Amino acid sequence: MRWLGKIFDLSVYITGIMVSLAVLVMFYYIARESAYAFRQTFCWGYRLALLPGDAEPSATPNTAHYSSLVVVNPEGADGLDEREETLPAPTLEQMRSEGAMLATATPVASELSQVRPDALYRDDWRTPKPAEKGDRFLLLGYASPEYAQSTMYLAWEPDHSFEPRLPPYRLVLRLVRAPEGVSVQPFEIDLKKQPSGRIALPAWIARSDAERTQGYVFAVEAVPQTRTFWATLRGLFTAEWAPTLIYPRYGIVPLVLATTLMSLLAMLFATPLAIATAMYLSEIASPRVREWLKPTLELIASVPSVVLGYFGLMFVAPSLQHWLGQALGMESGRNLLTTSILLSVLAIPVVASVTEDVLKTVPESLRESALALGLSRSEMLWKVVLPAARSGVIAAVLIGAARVYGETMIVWILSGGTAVLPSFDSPAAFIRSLVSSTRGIPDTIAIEMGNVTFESVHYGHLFLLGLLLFCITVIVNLAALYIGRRQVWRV
Amino acid sequence: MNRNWLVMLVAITVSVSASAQQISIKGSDTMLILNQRWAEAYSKVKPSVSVAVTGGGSSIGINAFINGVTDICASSRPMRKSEVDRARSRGAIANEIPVAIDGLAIVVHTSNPIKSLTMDQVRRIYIGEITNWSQVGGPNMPIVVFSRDSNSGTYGFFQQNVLQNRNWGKGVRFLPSTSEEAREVARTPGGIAYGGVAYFKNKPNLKILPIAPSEGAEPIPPDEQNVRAKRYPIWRYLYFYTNGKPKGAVAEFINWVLSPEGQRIAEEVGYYSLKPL
Repeated sequence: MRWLGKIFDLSVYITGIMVSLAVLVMFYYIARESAYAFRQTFCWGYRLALLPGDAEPSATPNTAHYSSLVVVNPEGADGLDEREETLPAPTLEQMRSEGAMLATATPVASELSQVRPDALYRDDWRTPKPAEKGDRFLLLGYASPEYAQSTMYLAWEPDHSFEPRLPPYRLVLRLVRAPEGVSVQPFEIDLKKQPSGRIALPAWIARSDAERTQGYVFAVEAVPQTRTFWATLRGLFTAEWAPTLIYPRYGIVPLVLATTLMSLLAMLFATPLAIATAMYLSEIASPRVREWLKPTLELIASVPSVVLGYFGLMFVAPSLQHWLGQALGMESGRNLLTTSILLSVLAIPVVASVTEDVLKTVPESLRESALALGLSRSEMLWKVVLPAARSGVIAAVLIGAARVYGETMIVWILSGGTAVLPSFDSPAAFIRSLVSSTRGIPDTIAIEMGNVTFESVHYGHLFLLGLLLFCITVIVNLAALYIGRRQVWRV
Repeated sequence: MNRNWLVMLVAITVSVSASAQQISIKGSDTMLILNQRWAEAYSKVKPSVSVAVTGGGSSIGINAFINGVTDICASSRPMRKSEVDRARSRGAIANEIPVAIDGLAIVVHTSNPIKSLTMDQVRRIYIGEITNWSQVGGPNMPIVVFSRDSNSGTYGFFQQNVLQNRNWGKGVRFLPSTSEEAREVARTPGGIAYGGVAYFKNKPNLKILPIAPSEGAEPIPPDEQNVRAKRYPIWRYLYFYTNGKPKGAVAEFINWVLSPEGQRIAEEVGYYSLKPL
């Protein structure tokens, strides 16, 4: 029957190889899909307007009147691009009847020779056009004959929620042409350094409709600067996760910090309790107590986390809110603290069970010699057994941490879902962010994967998050394996 | 045994050839569940026609329509003029058919003495400019803002139409379902949430607020008449687009969707039917 044994050995090898291969394939697949994150086409949007010379210094471009908005929005996420208004540029007659003194028309042109004042970009006018290759929008600025002041301002600000520092191009606002007979310093403003502001110009008055075309011509230019890859990578290290905005932001820092923080806190709660439970089980409990306590522990470990989550929602969250709400300034029971408590419930059985196994491997001879030397039972436990099993216990805690780090349901149900950066400014502020709503990596994937467009940039970023989660849990588990293997006692 | 297989094979072949009638719907993710429910129910009404539903988003559906690769385009926004023009240049005439109405209610805790809000106040609460009820004439109490998470179509609808595409405030809590929003507001005196009216109606500790479309206008409660009459400000149509007047199987399907039977499904999914049932 030796051949049977050989076949058995072989099948064990093959199984091992298959499992490792499966992990590699999984890794490859996640990594491949996350490449879609780097196919980002960055869009930009700027509001520009002419303001009268006596405008408040704080006045910002108001697009209600004939001011302009330049937007390049290549993605056009579903529903986010709602209304479109194609207005002809105002004639002087129209401006008069509406009491408007200044106007900027935006010809759909990138060259001076093509400038025609017949198109006006309004607030909700968004056009798909890839900005990656560079872009140039020309604006025509003029005042109606009624305009009595000698100066006017060109004011600019980023469109709602547009962050000029994110895209991989240089955004520049410059004066392309001044009207004849007007002497003005040419200017070139780096919009990344000066996202909003205004600049005074001598007023230029169009006396007839034909003269409008001879007004100021301003340009907003996007000149490629860095590669999309680096811009995407840099975008990951920003503090805002808002993928559904017109100008989406994919900063994963708040998510990573939240998951890390809640896992650390959970392990802080779970570790002492789990080690105490394991020590009681392995060293103190009578065989009869052990007989029912150990299976109970394993039963808790097998409770589906969704059940734990809803237990937390129905019981832990309201009671925490009731007892500690006032003291900690907690607005709702769904927060980081509640999540960590429930995560620790998830971790305790895992850590306790492994720790107990580890304690059992400590040789009986160590205990006997300790007692023979006159140590009390508790001294023996704390000073001999636990130190001897040190590396195994650390491994147990790490295994628990890896389990908690990737937990999805509990976090989804209890975290509150707000992706914000925790505050480290002061201890009080830190505690406040511990009791406020948060959002981690796994729940973000679970929430957003459901309605993300297949193979889109957002989709890629979710896979990128998955890749990160995968790597962290694998590293923590490998660390557990490595530490657990070292034996610290010498007999 | 062999015979059985043969019979099954024949049956499959027959059913495949019988269901040669296929209707494709592509578009809005908001309408995905609604479309799927319609497709399922219709397969019982008319087994010979199969309705294939795909999502991707209104814009993707409209593009598919322009390129002529879908029978019906489902969209949660009206088609733009430029899109209609582009379709026409490719030989597709956009025929717009509203198939359901979507309306959202704003809800607070019953202990909150606030009587109504304006659209602008709701917007500023959700983008984080207003953080205390005293700023909108209520008691001195922080506002705890609840929203659906981005898993839902209402999230997108609310962000476009109420927030006007601004970003959500820093303190907004995103919850997995509208019923959880209802539960959280019911136990949070300073809470506010939005969602389909059906989720909040006749629930303990919840008060649906009338909303004024603009400053100084009369606040309007989101009841059926007001939503259907478009007096209530937070509403939208859900559309089907077909190339010209629908014909044949597509026309039959759309007629069924607009019939009381189809409209009842829209109500079940949480939208309003076009006419009172």
